[in-house]
Amino acid sequence: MKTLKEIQENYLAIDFFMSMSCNKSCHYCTSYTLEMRNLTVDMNFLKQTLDYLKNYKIRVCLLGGEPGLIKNLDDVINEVKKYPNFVCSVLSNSFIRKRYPHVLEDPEILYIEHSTLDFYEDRIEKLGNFPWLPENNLNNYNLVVKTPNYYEYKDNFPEDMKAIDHKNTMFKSFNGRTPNKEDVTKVHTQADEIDRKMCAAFPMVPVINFETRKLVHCSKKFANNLIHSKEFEITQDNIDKMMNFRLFKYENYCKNCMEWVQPKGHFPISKYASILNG
Amino acid sequence: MNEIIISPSFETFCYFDDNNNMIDITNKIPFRLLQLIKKMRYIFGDNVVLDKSLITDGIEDIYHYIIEKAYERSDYIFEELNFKDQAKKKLLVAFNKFFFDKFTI
Repeated sequence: MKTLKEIQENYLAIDFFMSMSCNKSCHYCTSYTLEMRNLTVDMNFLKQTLDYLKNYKIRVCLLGGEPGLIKNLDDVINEVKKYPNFVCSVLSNSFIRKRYPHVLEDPEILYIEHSTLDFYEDRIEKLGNFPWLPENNLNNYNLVVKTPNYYEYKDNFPEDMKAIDHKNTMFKSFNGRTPNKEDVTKVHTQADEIDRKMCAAFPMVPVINFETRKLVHCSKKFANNLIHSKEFEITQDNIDKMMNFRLFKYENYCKNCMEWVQPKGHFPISKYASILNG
Repeated sequence: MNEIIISPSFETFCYFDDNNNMIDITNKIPFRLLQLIKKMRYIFGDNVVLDKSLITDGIEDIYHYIIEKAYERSDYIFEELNFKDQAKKKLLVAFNKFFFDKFTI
């Protein structure tokens, strides 16, 4: 079993937006539709895409929308797991626990549960009826988005905060997914230009959009319907360029991007050393 | 002036003028650029070269960004790094371009 640290330090992540359909409508997320569509992944398209990526160490992030809605998710996961240099990662709002509970039992699958809508004065609004994931060695993680409300109300819930105070909880900065830039500036400032430039060269994270069958520069701008992220054909040449930091450029939309980038950059320099001209 | 000679200790920097006189320019190089040069040892070891003639076009943006970030952030690049030879060559070009864009005599 690979640890989260190993995965974060050695793999480049790519989001697979299998379907945009979701059973929830988080106010800070625009990469969803409540319309149920494209819920069966075209395995031929998946196999072709994975084949293009086979020479690289990739964290394949299965999401959407809500991946638990995908009818053939087991087939998708099994296909990803055939490649020894891929790590299969699933991001769910907890619906996976209902429909594909065995995903949580497989430590080779990095399961990340974004199960909280937001913090409010009198409640934490969850996206499902499941408790927080406990500390575990199965690569299952809670994901808590540090929204403005998180900072304002987290102290109202000491028991919950204690329940997620362990190695299997990830805290994620509130970012450019929100339609309201002012919401972001409440909790962090814009990343420096050099960090946005480096992010542009290989964002955290580019997207394979299964609906349009395009390679998309950045999920954050993809989510923001005001400005669409640049799209590319999915070809071996484009995948090779992307994986060697040659496909994506610093675009105009990067100049306004409010994605939080930690001061040391979203990849450590050692990761660039291991990837560039590998 | 195309090439700047770096002393083994990375403390002194000079160039040869048209009469082959060695001119010490250590005090003319801004502090942040001096810091950047010293950081480059973590990438290139003792093979840090400052030579304008190395600069070529066509180096991917990411190499320029790494150098720019090393300049911008004092805590970026602080230990030995194992870039592969091809990447080192590109970083050296990016480093020289960055340096000579910021420093002229």
